[in-house]
Amino acid sequence: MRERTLLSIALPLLLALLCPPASAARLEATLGFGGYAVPGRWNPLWIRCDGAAASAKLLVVRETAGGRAIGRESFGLPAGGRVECPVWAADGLESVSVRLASADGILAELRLSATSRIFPGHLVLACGLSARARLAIASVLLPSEPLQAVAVAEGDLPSNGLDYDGVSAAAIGDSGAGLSPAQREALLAWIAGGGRLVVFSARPGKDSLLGSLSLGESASSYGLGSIVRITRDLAAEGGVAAWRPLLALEPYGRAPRISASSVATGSRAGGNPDEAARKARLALLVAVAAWLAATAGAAVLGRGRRGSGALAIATVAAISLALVLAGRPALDRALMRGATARAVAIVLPESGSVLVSASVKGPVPSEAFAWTAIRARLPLAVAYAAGSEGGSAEWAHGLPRAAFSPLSTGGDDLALSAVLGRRAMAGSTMPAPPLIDSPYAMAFIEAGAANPWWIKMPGARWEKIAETPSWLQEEARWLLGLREGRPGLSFVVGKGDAPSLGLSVAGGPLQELCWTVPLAGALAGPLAEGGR
Amino acid sequence: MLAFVMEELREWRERRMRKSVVATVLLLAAVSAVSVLQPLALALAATGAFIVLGWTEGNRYQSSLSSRRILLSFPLSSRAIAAGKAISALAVLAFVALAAAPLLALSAIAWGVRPSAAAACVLSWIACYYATLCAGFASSLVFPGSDGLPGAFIAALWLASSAFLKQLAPSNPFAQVLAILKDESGRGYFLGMGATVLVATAVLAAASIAISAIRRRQHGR
Repeated sequence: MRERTLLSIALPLLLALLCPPASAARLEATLGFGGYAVPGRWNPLWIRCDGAAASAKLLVVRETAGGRAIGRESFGLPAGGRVECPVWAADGLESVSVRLASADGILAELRLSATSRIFPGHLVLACGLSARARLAIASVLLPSEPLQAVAVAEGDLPSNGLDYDGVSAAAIGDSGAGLSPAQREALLAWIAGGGRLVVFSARPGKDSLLGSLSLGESASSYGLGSIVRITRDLAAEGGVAAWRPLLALEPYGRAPRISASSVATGSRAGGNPDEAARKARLALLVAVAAWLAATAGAAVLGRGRRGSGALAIATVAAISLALVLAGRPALDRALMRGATARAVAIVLPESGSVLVSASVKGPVPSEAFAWTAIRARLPLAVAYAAGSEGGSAEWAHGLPRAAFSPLSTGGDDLALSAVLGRRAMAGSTMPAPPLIDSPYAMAFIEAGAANPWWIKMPGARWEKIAETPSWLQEEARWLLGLREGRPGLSFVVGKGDAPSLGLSVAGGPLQELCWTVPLAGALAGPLAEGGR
Repeated sequence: MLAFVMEELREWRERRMRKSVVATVLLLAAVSAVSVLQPLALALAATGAFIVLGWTEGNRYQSSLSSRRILLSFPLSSRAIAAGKAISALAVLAFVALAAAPLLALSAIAWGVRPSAAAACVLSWIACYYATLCAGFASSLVFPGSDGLPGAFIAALWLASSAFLKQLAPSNPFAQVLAILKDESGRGYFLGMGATVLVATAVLAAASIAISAIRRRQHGR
């Protein structure tokens, strides 16, 4: 009996020691479309994770050649186990590490090279096309330059607008209304910014691809982009001559598309965040010194008099507390909650989407303190927390799908980008007609003019001015750079805490944002003429 | 019991109020100046200040002090005296916290600390203050000639072991405020606060038993 008991205990123990642990977590990741990363653009990173506990999290670490982390992001595990994370292919980016981490440590890790397969040229998404057709697409700009035609399944089309940054055109076979709402929104934002969509085997009606995008069958343009609808099946079309006019691509670098990378660096234009942070620190220290002096005074004055010392200290404390609480809005404005944010946005009116980029300077020292929460009032509210790990800030996504993505998270500086779609912008009042009569400071940059600046005067009157408006000095370089790359476009520019477009840091008040609306020549003319 | 509480508060106001308030305020102001009101630094400093304040409030019934004689001779049951001590000490904490409140509020506003996190920090401070108060109170009653060294040793052991042992970390007040302000999962830390208060109450009950024993011994003589 005793032997049997011993055996019943020892056998399971022995088995537990001999058998490997139950299924290990599995991690798969791909960077870029077809593994190709476009330098200087956002590229999609798809991560698939199976067999991990729900409490585990995914870490995406971008590294330089020397192994230095230049950006960290983390995601909670989504129900389907799939994460889409846009990655900015910066100059120094060498590799991207994807880690599956739990409280016990790193469960699985993958390292993807960001430099082994790069393609600095036009990238065309081919959905439902044969290899012969893709080869033909790849040759449409030859002999001057090659194209990369990447086969993509419809389910793998991006659901984040940032991931379309490097895509110049897309040829998609109409298989009906199979795209998710997020995929539709991302696709629309891309077309509105100047993307070219070729739909072949096009179906009629609402159940078609164009119908699901709320684009009519006869639509040939949308925002700054264009749409080609062909009922013929082009899946096996191998003629270069057939694809050339359909894609209508100009040489890479001359394509006047408004993409996420057009806005990415604008938020870093001008300004001196260090100076603002220094002033904020000084203001805080003055407040502390005043309170200390008042408390010490109360303690000294009440000395010797029975009970009056306690009363004086309590009175000083109560008055100081009331002043701090009553002065909270003023403090919020003056200190910006210890942070400086600069934000720029490009509004694409037709799709109702906004390309936004923000640069946030954290308070010093901000290490080891999860302080940052960014809320874009568009009127969507997204709150995230940036903590820190190993000296480099980590951008923790509140959702498995990234809304804002970090351009860089070096030190205290955090630069973020996003393409926010129609759903995020629901209720927005930004599109054109009310724009002109709005009470905000506005300017107009005229296409093709040697002296492009106009400003809005009282009474919705426009007046041409000789130089850059003073209130746009900090963003002028970015705006003129934007115009240079797209000579056919005019831009309406506004600045101020517009009611539906702004940025608040750490739950603070809405901060100033510089926004611009690109207008194609046909629209820009009457607007400029009307003001003269 | 109210008379005992008032007597304790009167004695504190006349003898130790300025010292407690000025020391706490100066410490917090110095930390604020160095860290630009960084809430994490300020919360850790406040935790340290409240631990020391709790200990000094509790550990003042040595055999050489008149407060011991007043405490033992007060016409109240030992349980009422222990409860009265806890109430008066919490009133002292409230006063010192009121004096420091503008600074803490300024820090919370400037750095955008969530109100729930601020409230959780206050709970942690109350728990650690209460724990060291009870430890000091029991120690000065049980070891009247030791300047509270045995109690101080046990309190230091609690803080050190909970700082180094992962299992005990939720009961460490410094770890508690760190976890709260860094937005980590807080359920374990609230359990730690609860456990700390429970143990401290048990120590307070032991102090009440000690008061009865001392009184019996004195009457026996």
